[in-house]
Amino acid sequence: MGNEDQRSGVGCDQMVRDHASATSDEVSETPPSTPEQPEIEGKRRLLLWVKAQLLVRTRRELKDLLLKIVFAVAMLIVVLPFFLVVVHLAIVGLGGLTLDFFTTLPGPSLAGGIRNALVGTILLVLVAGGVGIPLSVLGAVYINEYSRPGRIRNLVEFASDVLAGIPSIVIGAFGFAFVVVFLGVGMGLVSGGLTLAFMMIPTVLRTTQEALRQVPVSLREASLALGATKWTTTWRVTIRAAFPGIMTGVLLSIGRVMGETAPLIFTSGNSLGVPTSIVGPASWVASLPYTIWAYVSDPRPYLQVKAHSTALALLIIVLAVDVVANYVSRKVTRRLV
Amino acid sequence: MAAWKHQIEIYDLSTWFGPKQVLKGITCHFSDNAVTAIMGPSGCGKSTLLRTINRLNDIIGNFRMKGRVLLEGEDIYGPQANVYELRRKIGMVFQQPNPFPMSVRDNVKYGPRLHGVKDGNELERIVETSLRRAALWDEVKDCLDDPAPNLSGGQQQRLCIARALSVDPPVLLMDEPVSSLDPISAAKIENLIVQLKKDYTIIMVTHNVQQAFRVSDQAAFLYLGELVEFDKTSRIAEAPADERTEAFITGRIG
Repeated sequence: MGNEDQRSGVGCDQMVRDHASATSDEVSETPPSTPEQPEIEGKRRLLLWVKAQLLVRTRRELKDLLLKIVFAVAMLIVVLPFFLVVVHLAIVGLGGLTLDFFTTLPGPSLAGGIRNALVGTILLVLVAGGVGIPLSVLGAVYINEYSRPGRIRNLVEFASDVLAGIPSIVIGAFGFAFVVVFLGVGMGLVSGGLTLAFMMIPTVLRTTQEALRQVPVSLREASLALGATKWTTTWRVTIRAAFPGIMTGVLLSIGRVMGETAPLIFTSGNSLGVPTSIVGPASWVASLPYTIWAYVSDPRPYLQVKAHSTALALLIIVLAVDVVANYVSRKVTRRLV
Repeated sequence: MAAWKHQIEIYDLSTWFGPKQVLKGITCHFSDNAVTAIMGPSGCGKSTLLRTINRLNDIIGNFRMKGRVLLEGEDIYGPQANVYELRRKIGMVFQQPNPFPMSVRDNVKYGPRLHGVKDGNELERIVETSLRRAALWDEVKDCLDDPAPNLSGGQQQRLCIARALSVDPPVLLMDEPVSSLDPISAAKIENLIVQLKKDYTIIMVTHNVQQAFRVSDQAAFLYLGELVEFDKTSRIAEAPADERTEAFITGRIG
């Protein structure tokens, strides 16, 4: 029997078949196997491998195999939509992704590019980030570093969790009612950006809190023990140590709000050009998701293609942001203790 | 001659965290330019005592204390006390090496910068002297700009000692400084502590009796928040006066 173990070159079904057919008498008569096995060509090797995977001898093994298949199929169904979306967008829209598509404004009958939407999305994210990121980072620093644990802290955390769960269309309606109408800002870049900021704040707040929580207490104590004030410790040690985590949260939330349509429908307006003012109708601004929505809802076939090209562009941008976020978080976690 | 006898004197110190009393009426005087070991089983209040001396317990919300802690004759909990200046005069080294996530050089510069040293040459001089005193200079002089967390555990701990020395404190507190290190790094740091006592008053918490005997001149034995025994280390090692101390140093409690 011992020599069977040396036949590593053969698929294991071969071994098993030998094993099954061999009675104890036959085993002793088995000729010694040659150490050098004949090369098994690729196709046959694969076949042997598949057979080995499917080989079942008992009910327990059958059950094991069936469940393995069930899990594998579930996994395929889970990841399939992503690839279908990418493939579909690429088939319909890839041809439209030329440099001109990004650099020209839409012309008569919406022929032309999506420069308005690209610039608009960048401007909206700048406004949203410019307002939302400092507010939520500072708020998280206050909650984690300054406030005492207790009811108020719990209330703030609860509120931001609820805010994070509010459907984006509700945020959009709130942005319209509060920023556009009540504050009298009117539709445009500022209102759209502020409404996106409402969407960013809970995410950035919570990820910043998490990043701050990961910083060991002993780092803060080391700084305080050197005679640093609370503020110096927070700024030069705690935030610095938490920076990669904060940055990851910020990038992920930017990636997320880039693709939001609902908060913009009632707040940003739309435009075929680039905004020239920060107030009034001249500040109305297009965005990538809004443009996709507008083009998809239009019956003209060439706009369907443009919608897909725009969607592909948006997908690529969001993926790029996510990849950067991933890289930042991984690179810097390695550097910290 | 100053009006005080020892740099650190503690009179009738009791502390509480919330309702729980941690230290019970401790009075002791730590000799200058000597190593004092604070021994005791886990949870007896060793670290609390140490952290009371540089007021690091203040950052814990429900901390209360009674009694007096004097640094050079001044009550550090008194109304005149400046906690930032106090902590400059009392350096601290922690159990886990905790270098800041910045370069080796910036770790050492952090302290002097806090206290207003701006001149670049002066800072560089402090970096070198502090690292030399911590017996780390030869190992890191070529990689001063590397991130400090890349150093080995023992090097990180010596960097933390260098960082504590960078603001030239007369007193150095050490909270089990070698207990998370391998034996060779630990031995290096023990030797370093013996050298440093020429210039600094060192108070070291340890639960390792052998280490306390090797390194310290004076030893305190704390048990359940009480100061059971406080004397010369050699005296305690030969003939502990209290049976609880004897039980601890012979390994029966701890």
